[in-house]
Amino acid sequence: MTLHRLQFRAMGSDMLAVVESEAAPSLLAQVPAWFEEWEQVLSRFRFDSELTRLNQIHDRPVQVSDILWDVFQAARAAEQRTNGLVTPTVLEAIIEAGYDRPFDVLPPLTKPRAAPAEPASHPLEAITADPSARTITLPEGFGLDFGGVAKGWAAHQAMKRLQAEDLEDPAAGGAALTDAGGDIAISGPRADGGSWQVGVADPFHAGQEIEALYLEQCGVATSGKNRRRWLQGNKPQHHIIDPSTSQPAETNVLTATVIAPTVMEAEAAAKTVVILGGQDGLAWIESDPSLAGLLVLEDRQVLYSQRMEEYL
Amino acid sequence: MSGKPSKKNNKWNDIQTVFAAAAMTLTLGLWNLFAGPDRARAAAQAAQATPEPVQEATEEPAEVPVVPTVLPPGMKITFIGPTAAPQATVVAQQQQQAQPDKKKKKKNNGGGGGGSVTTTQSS
Repeated sequence: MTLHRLQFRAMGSDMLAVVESEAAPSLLAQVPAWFEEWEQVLSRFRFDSELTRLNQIHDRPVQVSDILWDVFQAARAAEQRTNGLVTPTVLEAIIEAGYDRPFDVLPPLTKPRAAPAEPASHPLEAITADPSARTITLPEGFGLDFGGVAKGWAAHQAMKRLQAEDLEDPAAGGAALTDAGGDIAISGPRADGGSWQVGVADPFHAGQEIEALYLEQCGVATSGKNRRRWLQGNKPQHHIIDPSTSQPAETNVLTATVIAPTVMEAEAAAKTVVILGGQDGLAWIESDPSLAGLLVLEDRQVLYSQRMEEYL
Repeated sequence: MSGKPSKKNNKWNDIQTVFAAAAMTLTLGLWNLFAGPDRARAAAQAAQATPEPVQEATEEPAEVPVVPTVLPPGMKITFIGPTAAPQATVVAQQQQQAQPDKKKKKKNNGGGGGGSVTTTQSS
């Protein structure tokens, strides 16, 4: 069996698609085009994206594409699983924090806002979504930012498509793995029945790993405040917004890695743990038997959930 | 309204041109006459002079505060057009060794983790 790898850049992140098969998988070369199509729908940084257009229309229903609808449903599911801690309605808050353009072009020091906005409550239930007409109605003042949910969804979709190609030709069959900037979707065990080895990056030493995970059909994702951070005036900011304060989460968790049945669930869970903090985050993971987690705290402690042992 | 150029005017212009040319020639000639010895002396002095050592800076350069660009209210910069994306190339790797057994747990405390297909990290 041969590992066919394709690396490319999309959604402001490094992407990787891997298929293990005898013959070269024909679909692999198309993966960057899939991501480009999804980014054109889901990016809040593209002035002509479908999401940007949706965010400009309030108080009337807007018919959306299948892609945007699916991601909106994934974001709703994430919001329910995390008791509202991961929600797509924090667009205003993240812009207030200074993250108002693609991170690649965001200056390391942004200007503090003259008059900080009051924390606004933007419950997702206030948005009307009509499945039959496939329309979304945003109330005045609301905007959507799918963020990591979109990346996790994209990784999952790409993995499913690559896996489908294998299923059509069992002789060539193997397994697929897609990595969207650290959010990883895995279709199943490798061709020889073994596991995929996935490293967990060490946030204190660039290029090193603190752990190796042995994974099969699942998703794994890492969220943290060690990347996508900047100074707003004198205040350190990062991209993980706590909806209860509408500010970047104040937390002792530097990075959280979570294994879940799907990469969308893993991504939402990892973000939740960062917002909750070390002890509460670990307890939250332990409360869900489908999750396993590894937390790196600011004081360099590494916390493992009990079920993480199965993957080490 | 200017009148039609006459022969008298043409003659006066010719005289002016001759005077101007003569004045310039005289100026250049005198310049070279008196500047020549000075130029030779300056060249000789330059050849004899030893270069002074360059004094090294003893103070740290002052730190210039980074000030972000301030846009007028209501204005924003939009970046459009295709970005130069790196060329994506499919790389095939023939498996040389059997996959490590899942049951064989290998803990990697701070090591390189070279066997990983990829790495999960915050993005």
